[in-house]
Amino acid sequence: MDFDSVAMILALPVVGQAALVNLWIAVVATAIALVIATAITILRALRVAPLTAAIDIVVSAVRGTPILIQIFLFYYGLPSLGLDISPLVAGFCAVAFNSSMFVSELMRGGITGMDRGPVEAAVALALPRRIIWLKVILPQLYLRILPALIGEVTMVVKATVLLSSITVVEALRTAQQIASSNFRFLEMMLAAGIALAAINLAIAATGTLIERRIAAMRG
Amino acid sequence: MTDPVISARSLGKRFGAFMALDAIDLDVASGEIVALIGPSGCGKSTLLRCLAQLEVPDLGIVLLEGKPFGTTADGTRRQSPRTIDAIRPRIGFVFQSLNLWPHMSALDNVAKALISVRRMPAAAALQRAQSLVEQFGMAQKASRRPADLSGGERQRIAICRALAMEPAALLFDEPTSALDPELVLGVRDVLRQLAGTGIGMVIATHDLGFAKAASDRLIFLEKGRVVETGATQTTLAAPNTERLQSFIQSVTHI
Amino acid sequence: MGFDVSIITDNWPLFVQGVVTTLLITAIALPLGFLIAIPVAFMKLSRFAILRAVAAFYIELFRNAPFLIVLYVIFYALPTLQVRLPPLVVGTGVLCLYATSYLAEIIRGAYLAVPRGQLEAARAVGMSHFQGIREIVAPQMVGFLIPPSTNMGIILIKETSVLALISVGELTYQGMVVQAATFAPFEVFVAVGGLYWLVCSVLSFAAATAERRSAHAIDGPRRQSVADSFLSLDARWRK
Repeated sequence: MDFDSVAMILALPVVGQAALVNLWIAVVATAIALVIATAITILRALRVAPLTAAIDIVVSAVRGTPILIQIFLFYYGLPSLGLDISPLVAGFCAVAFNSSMFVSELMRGGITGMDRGPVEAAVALALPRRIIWLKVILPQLYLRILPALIGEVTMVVKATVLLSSITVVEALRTAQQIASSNFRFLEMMLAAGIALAAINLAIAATGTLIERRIAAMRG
Repeated sequence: MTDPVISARSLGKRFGAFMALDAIDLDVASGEIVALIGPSGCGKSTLLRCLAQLEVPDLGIVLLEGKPFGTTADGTRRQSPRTIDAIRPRIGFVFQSLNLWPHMSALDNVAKALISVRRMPAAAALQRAQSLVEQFGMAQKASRRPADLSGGERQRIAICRALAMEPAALLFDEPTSALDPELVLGVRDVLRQLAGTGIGMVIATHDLGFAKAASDRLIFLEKGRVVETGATQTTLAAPNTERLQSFIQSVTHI
Repeated sequence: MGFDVSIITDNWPLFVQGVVTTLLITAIALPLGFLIAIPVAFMKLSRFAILRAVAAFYIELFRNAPFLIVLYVIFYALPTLQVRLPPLVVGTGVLCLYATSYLAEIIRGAYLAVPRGQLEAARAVGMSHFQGIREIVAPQMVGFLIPPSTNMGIILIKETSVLALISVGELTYQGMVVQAATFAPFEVFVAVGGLYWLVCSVLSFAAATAERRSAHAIDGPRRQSVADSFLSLDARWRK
């Protein structure tokens, strides 16, 4: 078997640079997802039955279809609605939309198992609903879902390589482009794998660090 | 006198730097009930677990009916897992949390080892289990799952499960800790009845009243060492060591 | 913008074929992955650091590297090792390995969820370690295994879509074929997405029903406090 480890190592800086695109998309998409998911959570809390039902259907559809299909739908669908957007934007929207639904489910799960004590105290003080949500429930909820949220960022990083199939130039696409000129497909794929795995390990390590900080802060 | 049913010779166990058991000697005669007392963390549970080889002692030997259990006779080499597993059911163990198997009926809990370990036909095993639970007044509830039994009933099933393998010795870890106070004397009666059949028993307990009511002999442990031992009634009435005296005071002086 | 339904109705045999292939791949990868996951889980639980490290590496690989990249690496590595297999086999195999890494953690979690004393009680009546695990611990693990495993099945169904990129003829690939012939990507992928959604919904509904049936311990109604009304997000359809 011939394996050109030099070609792989030489490709690493280029592919690694491109992997920052994956990281960037993942971080921004998850941040936007957190905002949208918060909005969804508050809409759910209004307990308007038809609204909740509509949210449930969208969440179920997103969780019940592959993200690759969602990417295709955004890529082919948005332009046919008359929106002139680049593959990068379409792909980014798909990933952020997908992540929003998963984060909203994280928040839903997080809220069910939350400590009732502080909320009961706030209710006893007759604080307005809005204040209870903003000052009591949401801050606790964000802390609770933080580990899962960091896990979600790594999930999104993994999903971003699928954007290569709609011509977004990220780590995998870059590796494929190099491979199509030097025919070192295996080596280039390994380079992309190493770069992306390194990014995800770094995210996980950062997450552990943040969690420890928070744990230390709370004493 | 016949061989003791279970003995320990300079048994030692260490957890890191912590000396859990330090040179323990112990002999339990047939039909004798020995209570292990002492403050929590004194090594009571560890001693029971080492006797049953559920914890591997670092030093010393355990003798079961005069034969080495866990190590070779000189204490230098460990017996094979197979040998240990074959001997172990001669010691019945009643855990503090009982550890009944929640996915089986009470009767199946009792019969399981007969079927899986003794390779007894299921019908015969269930019959034997049935007669055991009947002796303990549990015939009506044998088909229930442990979750549907009361604490006292569960304990009786745990005892039956240990007795099914016809042990020479029974070890109890805190048998009264999970029981309502009015059931404690009932446990004593059960133990007395079992002693009558020749089973030697060791009971780890922090309940001095129970130890006094149920045991023939007392061993007071502190920091993994035997501080004092003697016949229960006389020892409790007139302890020889200051340590035991202050322990008795600390637990009775409420 | 018009939505041309005829694109879906004219090509339904291809879509059906795609669904069947997707289900077939999952039906092989999930149970096979489960079988392989058992030793991996027990390696991760082992006393021996080397076994733990090997299992951890395997699990972390799939946790951190994108599935598509692992798929490509194996897809390109096999020919250099003089192994020539059809994409369907390679794809199913890699999906199975992917499932293994997650199922190993599920099995490990289920093992740890059974209290330690259960195995000890088995040892105390004379069972060997292995016998105790098989006869006492394993039956109690089932309840902890079923919900996450069915969930894994749904994840796998969705993940099969990635196999389209090495031209395995599952549902997404069939969609790509129809799209290439009709140039109607939106209709095609709405149909494909709808089929995935249908399959996943049917499966999760079946799993939920089975779970409810098998739950013998039915908890009583929970007390509702005022705080609960804040902390519950499910709308009441009828008040």
